[in-house]
Amino acid sequence: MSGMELVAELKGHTEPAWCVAWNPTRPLLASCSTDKSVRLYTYRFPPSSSSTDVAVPIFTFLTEIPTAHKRTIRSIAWSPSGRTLVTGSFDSTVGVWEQLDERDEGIERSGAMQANDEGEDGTGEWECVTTLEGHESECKSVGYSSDGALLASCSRDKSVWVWEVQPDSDFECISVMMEHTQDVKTLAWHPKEEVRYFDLPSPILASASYDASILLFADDPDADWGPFQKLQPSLPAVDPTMASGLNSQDEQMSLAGDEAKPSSADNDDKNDEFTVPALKDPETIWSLAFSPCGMFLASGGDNGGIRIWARGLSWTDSQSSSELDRDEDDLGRLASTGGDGRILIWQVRKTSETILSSHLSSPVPKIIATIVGLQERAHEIHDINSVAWCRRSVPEEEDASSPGHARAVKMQQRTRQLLATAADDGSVKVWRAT
Amino acid sequence: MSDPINANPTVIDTSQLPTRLGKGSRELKPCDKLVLKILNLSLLKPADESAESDDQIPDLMSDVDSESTDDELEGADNEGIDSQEIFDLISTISDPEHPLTLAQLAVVNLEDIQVSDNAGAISEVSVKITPTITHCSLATLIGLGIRVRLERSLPARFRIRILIKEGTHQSENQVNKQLNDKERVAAACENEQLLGVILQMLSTCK
Repeated sequence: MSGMELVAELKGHTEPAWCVAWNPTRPLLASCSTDKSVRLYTYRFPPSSSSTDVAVPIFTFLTEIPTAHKRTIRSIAWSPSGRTLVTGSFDSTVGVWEQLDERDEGIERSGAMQANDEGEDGTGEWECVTTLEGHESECKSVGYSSDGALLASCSRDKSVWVWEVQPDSDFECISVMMEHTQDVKTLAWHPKEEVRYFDLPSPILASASYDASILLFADDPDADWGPFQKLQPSLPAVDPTMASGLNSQDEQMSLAGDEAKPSSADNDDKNDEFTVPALKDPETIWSLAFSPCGMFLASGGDNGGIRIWARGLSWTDSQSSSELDRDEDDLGRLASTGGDGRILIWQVRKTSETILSSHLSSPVPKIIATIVGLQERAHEIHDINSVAWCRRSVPEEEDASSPGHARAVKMQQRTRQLLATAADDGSVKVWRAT
Repeated sequence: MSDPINANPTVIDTSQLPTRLGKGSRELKPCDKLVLKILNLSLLKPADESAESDDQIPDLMSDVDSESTDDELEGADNEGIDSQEIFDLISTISDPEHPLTLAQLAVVNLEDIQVSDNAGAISEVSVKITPTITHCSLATLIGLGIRVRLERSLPARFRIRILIKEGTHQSENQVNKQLNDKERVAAACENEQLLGVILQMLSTCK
């Protein structure tokens, strides 16, 4: 089984590449590395195949941002507008990068290479508009909230910071949360803003740590940002006592089923290779990803296991519930990768069965994850550090009948099978799920 | 703290000889180890040392270099890497505290090295270290030194696992977790002060 094909191999980093990030509004792919640089690639669809959905884009190196980071750039993230790039570095700082407007600045476009479907490109010079300082040791992950109003960063110093994004590239730290007891490895913002946990809607931020736990944070209108739940693989959901606005167990996330396990029908010959290892010791949680509907959270552990967490049904407000209904059973695809050099694509489905056990306050749907794509040795013998789906956004405010809207919809459809990976050999690869 | 560490290298340099001797005759390794220990307990012989290092060091280096190249190219010259070779790479690392090598202190032992070498595919090396005392605060540093040595010497296909030998350290799990956290190791290797100490430890290897 493969289920995916190589679209582009992008070499250039001289040291391990740690993270890849797709720009949500423009045809740009960014990667970062121990070599302290960010590399930007652009892509375009060849005109001949413009009418088909299976068109394969052509990737071209665009520019390198040398950055002023003094150590490894561990993480990069785009703002939802696609205008701002943030870099989280082992030098403990977060860099914020914006592009000088090439029209105003009169920076010339260098040939047809940068031309693309939307008449936008990344050739204008990227400059550091601000550097966020505050972490005491390596910054491990950075990310924007779904509406771009907040930025979060985390560090080996055990803290999670939430920054408010203000006009003119100004960032104000509004919270420093120290609830993890170890290195905070990664962050994930909930994909929707209408999440209602306290009385008022609040964005939800998840963080995962070396301390083997996942914390879920929200903005409590009566207090400050704080954790409202702790998730620990292998253990029942635990309700921490910090948040004041909490009432009862009605509002908990819950572990759905045991673990994501592939169905044996899809890989008879290799079934044993895909069993999720038992959790002997508390293990570092390296990665987090919310499902597009926001009802599920996947976490990747140190021993190669993936766990999928479900919201308790009572946790959601009416809007989200209807979202769940509309989504039917298809929760989307989950891509995973790791030190074994494999990329796996899982089709995740919700079944009509529910799970209710003593530690769950409400039933959660049972999940089935089936492997639909497998690439062995995706970067030959090298560790793969990052995998990211291309997720082009369609501006909600825009008139649905406008040409811009139609272009964005088309671009979203044409790019939704694309994913990128970054590896220890410094290379970035782009794949298309088939 | 910094004085002893800086003072070590000269002493370690003289103790380098016996371990090199061991590398010369691989089949007799366990015996050689004993001989080395005895030699080191007695007086060191600078004259022998210089003779040996002239002979042995270039050989070792070219060995490692050519192998790593071959493997990356998936070349036919596929000798494979065994635990003896791993031992030879790490046995002469200096202890950060004592003017002795890790082999001399029995921190690394041939029987605690496991290699599963799949030519051209992802392979694994696991090294279990035995700290000299169960509360040795330098266990992490020693482990890091071994990891850096192996990462720099072995072909990229090797995944390196450094573990504390079961029951030999009171914080076994914590040390193991740190030593095998790729991100922390990468960050540690960017810490110039720490890297300086590690390079001192490794200076007796070359």
